[in-house]
Amino acid sequence: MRRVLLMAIAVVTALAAAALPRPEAAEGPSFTGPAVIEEEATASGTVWYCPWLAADATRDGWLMLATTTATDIEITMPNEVPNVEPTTQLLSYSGPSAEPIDVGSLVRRGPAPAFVEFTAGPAAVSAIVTQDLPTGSTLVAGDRCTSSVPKLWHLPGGTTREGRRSMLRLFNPFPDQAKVTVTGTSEFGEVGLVDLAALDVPGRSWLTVDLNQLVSLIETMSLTITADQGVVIPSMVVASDVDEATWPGTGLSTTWEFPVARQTGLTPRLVVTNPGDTEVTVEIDVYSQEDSVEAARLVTIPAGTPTSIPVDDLINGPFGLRLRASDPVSAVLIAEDITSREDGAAATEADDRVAGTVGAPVALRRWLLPGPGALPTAASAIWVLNTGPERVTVSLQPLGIDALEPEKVVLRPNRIARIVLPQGDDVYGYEVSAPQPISAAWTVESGDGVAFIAGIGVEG
Amino acid sequence: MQAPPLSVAAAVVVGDPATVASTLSAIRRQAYGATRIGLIGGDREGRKAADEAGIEWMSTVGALLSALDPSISHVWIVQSGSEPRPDALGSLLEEAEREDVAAGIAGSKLLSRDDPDRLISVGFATDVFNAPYTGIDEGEVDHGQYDVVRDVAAVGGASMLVRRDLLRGLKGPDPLLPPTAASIDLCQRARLRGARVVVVPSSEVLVPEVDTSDWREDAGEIRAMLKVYSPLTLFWVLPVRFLVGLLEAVAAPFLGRWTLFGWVKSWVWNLMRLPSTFRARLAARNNRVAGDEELFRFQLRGSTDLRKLGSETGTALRERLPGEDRLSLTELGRELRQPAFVVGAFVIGFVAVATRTLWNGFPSVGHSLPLPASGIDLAGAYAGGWNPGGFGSVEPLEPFTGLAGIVQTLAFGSPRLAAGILIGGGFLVGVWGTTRLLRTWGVNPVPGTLAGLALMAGPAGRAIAEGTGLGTMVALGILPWALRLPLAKAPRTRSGWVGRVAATGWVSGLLAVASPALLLLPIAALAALAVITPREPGPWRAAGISGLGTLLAVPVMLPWVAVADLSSYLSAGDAFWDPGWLFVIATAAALVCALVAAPNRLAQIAGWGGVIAAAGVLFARTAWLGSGREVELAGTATASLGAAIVCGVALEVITQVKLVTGWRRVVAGLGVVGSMVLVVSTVLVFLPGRAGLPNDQLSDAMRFTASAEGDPALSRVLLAGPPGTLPGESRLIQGAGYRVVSAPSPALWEVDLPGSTEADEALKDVLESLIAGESFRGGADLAPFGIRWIILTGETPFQAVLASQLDLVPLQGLRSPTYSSDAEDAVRIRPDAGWGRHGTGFVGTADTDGRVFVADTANTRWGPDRVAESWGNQVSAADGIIGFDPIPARRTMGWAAFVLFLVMVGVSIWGRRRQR
Repeated sequence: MRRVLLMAIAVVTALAAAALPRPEAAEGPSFTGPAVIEEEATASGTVWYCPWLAADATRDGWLMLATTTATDIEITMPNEVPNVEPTTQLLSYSGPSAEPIDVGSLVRRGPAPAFVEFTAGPAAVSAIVTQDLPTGSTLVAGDRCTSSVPKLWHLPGGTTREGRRSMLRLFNPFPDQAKVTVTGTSEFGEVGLVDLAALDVPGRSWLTVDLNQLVSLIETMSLTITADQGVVIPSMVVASDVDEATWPGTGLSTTWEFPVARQTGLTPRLVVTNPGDTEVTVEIDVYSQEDSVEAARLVTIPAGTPTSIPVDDLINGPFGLRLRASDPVSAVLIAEDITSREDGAAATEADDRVAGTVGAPVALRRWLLPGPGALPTAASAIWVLNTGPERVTVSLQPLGIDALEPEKVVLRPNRIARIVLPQGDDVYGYEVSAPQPISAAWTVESGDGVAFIAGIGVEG
Repeated sequence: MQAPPLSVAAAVVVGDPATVASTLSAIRRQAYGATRIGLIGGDREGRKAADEAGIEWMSTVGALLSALDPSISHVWIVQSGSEPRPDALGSLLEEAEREDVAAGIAGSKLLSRDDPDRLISVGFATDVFNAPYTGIDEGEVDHGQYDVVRDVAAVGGASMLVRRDLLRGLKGPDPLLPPTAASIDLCQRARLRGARVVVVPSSEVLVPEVDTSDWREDAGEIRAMLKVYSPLTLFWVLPVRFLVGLLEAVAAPFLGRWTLFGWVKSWVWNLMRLPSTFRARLAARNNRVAGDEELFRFQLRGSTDLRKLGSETGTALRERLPGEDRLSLTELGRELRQPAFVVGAFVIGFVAVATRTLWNGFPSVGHSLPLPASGIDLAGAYAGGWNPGGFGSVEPLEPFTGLAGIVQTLAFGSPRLAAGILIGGGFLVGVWGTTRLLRTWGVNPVPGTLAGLALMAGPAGRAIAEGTGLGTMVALGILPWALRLPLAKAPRTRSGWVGRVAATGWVSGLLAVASPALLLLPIAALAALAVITPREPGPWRAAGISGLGTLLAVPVMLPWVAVADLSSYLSAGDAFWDPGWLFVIATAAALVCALVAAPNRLAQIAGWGGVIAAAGVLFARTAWLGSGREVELAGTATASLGAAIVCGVALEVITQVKLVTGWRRVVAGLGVVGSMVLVVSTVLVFLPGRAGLPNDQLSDAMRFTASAEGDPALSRVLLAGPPGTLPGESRLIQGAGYRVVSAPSPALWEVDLPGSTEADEALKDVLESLIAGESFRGGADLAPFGIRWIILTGETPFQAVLASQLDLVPLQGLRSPTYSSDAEDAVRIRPDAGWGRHGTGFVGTADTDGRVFVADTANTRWGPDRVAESWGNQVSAADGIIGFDPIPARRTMGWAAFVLFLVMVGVSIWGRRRQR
């Protein structure tokens, strides 16, 4: 009896043990990597990456710095030679400031990608490259720098058609080697970029890919850059014989605002890439200083392809535009000198200027424009776009060496404002603000060179 | 007998004055009378005794020699208390003066005064260190087996006849030496002069028992060596004698003796008397006619003391081996062929192989980390010192760290040796204990030993090791003893009872220190046994003794038990052990078969074991109640104990051929199968050689830090990865695991992390900013915490976070993804110039006006001259020593616990001896 009892006790205890519930498994990490910050200037410290910079015997590069508060700044230019210390420069501003930094005063060895660290903000950076050509014209290329470092980038707007050369710059400012896959689509579908399937970009270094060597005679090419390991900051450069345009990679958005689309004779077009699996409907609203047309153009973009949308005929005079898409797309605005030949074909001229810029995915109340007025012999203009239903008073606060009173511009709804800036007044940047959301950008012309440069939104 | 024409003076050396009268009476009764009788030494009492006896008194034998009449030819030196037989002197003279003997010194055969048939000595040999060796077994009866006049190394000082001229030349015995050492010294000096030293067995003297283990005898032996040996012999014999004594001092406590102080005193005594020893040496070696080779003639090889130590050790072990027969030389061969011996030898071999890698130290995996460089520091950290886990705290370390620190200190500070002793020793003790425990119910050694293997290395034991429960592994070895001691036969005397309770107390204390969660298991198990066998008084008595022992064990866990958050200790982690089908089926099969087939008593024990095993599994799966890792380990240990009991019974049942017959035998056979499955599964522990512990995962990943520039010990490493891949406890940030450890190799005292401190919150804020993409110089952000490297121990989203930092350089060629900070001052003491790590503090160059920042959790006991700075401590560098001032109350409690433990050990030894 006792044996049976002992057995029963053991069995019951064992069964009770078997019936006990297993504890819940702990939840895994709720993040997969660093949060991708918005491409905005924030009140905390930020880093701005400028992939397309150069300074050598013929080229000059400029880092346009702008800050609205006291901050310390460190400029770092990695050296392409492994294990060589980068070139650095430390600066300190005691208040709102803007200053152009001549890259050539730091390095003069050709390509010179850089990153700029601010300990406080809002602060931002733009980068410009100029070159005086033997023909007497001046090359001007530039755009805003990037603070966001996602793993996936979109770079629409490339072209390898006759008369154009496109280059992809992949800048890795981090110590870790990056492994990158670059894929491309064109009007013909997928572009075979076999050589770019697994690119190694060494840490604290960069890679420049001549796309014309890989694919030729492509009218419209969009690239997707995926960082399988590490992080890179890409930029696209499209060059003609006499000018260059550069713009950074973007994300995807259903809305893109381009405060400047046409300026002084350039023919604008919008290059939109639909990376999705279904076609996307795109509506283009255009805004001039006098007029606006909503849904001026309606385009359906097939899945997985880029489309170049002409916008030159939508409105007269200088204008900006807004793109609205049914699904997230990437977009870039390119403006070129294209004149027709007698046979109707496009012809490049000695003054074949090209400019390009990325848009703003969202309108904000504050913008930083580092650089307008900074180039001594260039003419700059600030462009402001108000797509809202109400009139806004836009304040343009100079951020130069001397503190100046802001200029105020009243902007009607659905209009742009183009403010030509005086030259030589020691103002090297602006803070543009309004009580309602707007978007801002600026342009620079020097000789025959022109560049469109996107503004940088300020958080909050 | 014809008296030779010789005249003898008797010199009675006073030892105990009360015994002088009987010696004088015996001398006066000699058939060959002494011409003169004198009393030597004893100071005032000796003089008084001489007055009462009406004989002359001299301070030394030398003084007597000077006063002797020239007709005296011999001096008979007799120790007081000795009682020579009436023909003793005559026999000595007759044999010593024989033409073919012509001895310079002749000694008597010494018999026990209390038991005149029992031999004490018939002359003796010595070893090279002058330790005497009689060659007589303890209690040996005199049958005349040694009755032949022969040369010996020395004769007993109780009765020796010395030629007067020789004695004068030797200047008498050395008055500084005790009797045995003095006689050895005198005989050696005589032999150097060419004199023969013989023993005359026909001369019998009854003597009291002499304790030759007194430190004075050791000191005398050393002095005698210094006097007679050549410089060349002294060159090696003195250091070896020193080491032999030290070895004996280390081993003796395990045999119930304490020789350390005596050993020290014997050498110090000689150091203080070196001048007189030197003078005596000159006198001894001048005019010598023989050399060391004469002294070596009657010496044994090796060391008598070591031989005695080995004999005592063997005796002690044999007394504890199961089996009724005591080993003796005649039965050795038979015993060697016994299965128990074979199995015992197998177990020792098994443990040696199964734990072989642990003699290199604990692996760095899970909750196992190597011991720190100093055992004293570890024990000190436990008893009120700084807990260096994470950024440090005053949370108490677990008692096992204190135990490990003490073991390491005893193991000459070697972390590797201590690790091997703890685990290898635990294994051996556990197997042995299981054998002894099961012997209580008549289970023979072979099944008991196999059950012991199943306890330590079976599925449940392996689970504990795989869970890196180091303390529980050690506790598992102690567990059978915590049950065996209370179950042992009832003591006969009160002192025996006291000793038994004390023994249970310190064993339970040791169990609790190794694994506090197991403290109550012995009493619970014994109470259950008492309920199962209610009519037997033994288990009830055992439960009572175990209860008292458990109470005594509680203070042994001080200071931890007084200051720890016991609830947190028991609830950290999740208790959910999956025993596996192998364990369940094998144990169940053995249990069922044992219950069915075994005789009543064994069946009850098997049932008891089965209940224990099931209860253990139940407790190990109570995560739903909030039980944590420690409860799981304790439950698993309980299950292992129960399974081992079942296994042992099942294996025993099959051997009982007379009681288990017919179909029961078949059933028993099935039980054996189940048990052997448990036993054979121990091969999974045997082969890797890590005692079941997982492979080291962290050491390889961190090894590179040891060769980094600067002092890596001044920096920390941030480990990130799934919590299961991180050592010890870890923290979570947005579900991702991380923790900080010390470079170049974290130690056992860092396994557990304290509750989140200010420093932890500050680090968390930094990590949050990195994850949020708000910070891009992670190296500079982590440097204030002393973090110089980041190692990823598994898949973690931190890799993407770190890859986007401008100042974290990935290191190539390492097993794990690793980042090194470019930032300056990634050290835990700033400025760090001239400072180095020492225990949990720092030592460096004193700087009277300097101050440094210590990146440890803020605490007012850091110093000297500590000032709060952020989440850390700013202290003065004036002394060149920076550290945490131990908490006095905890330090006192730690000492109290240690002393209590030693007292219980001492009382248990005392009780055991009185029992005998």
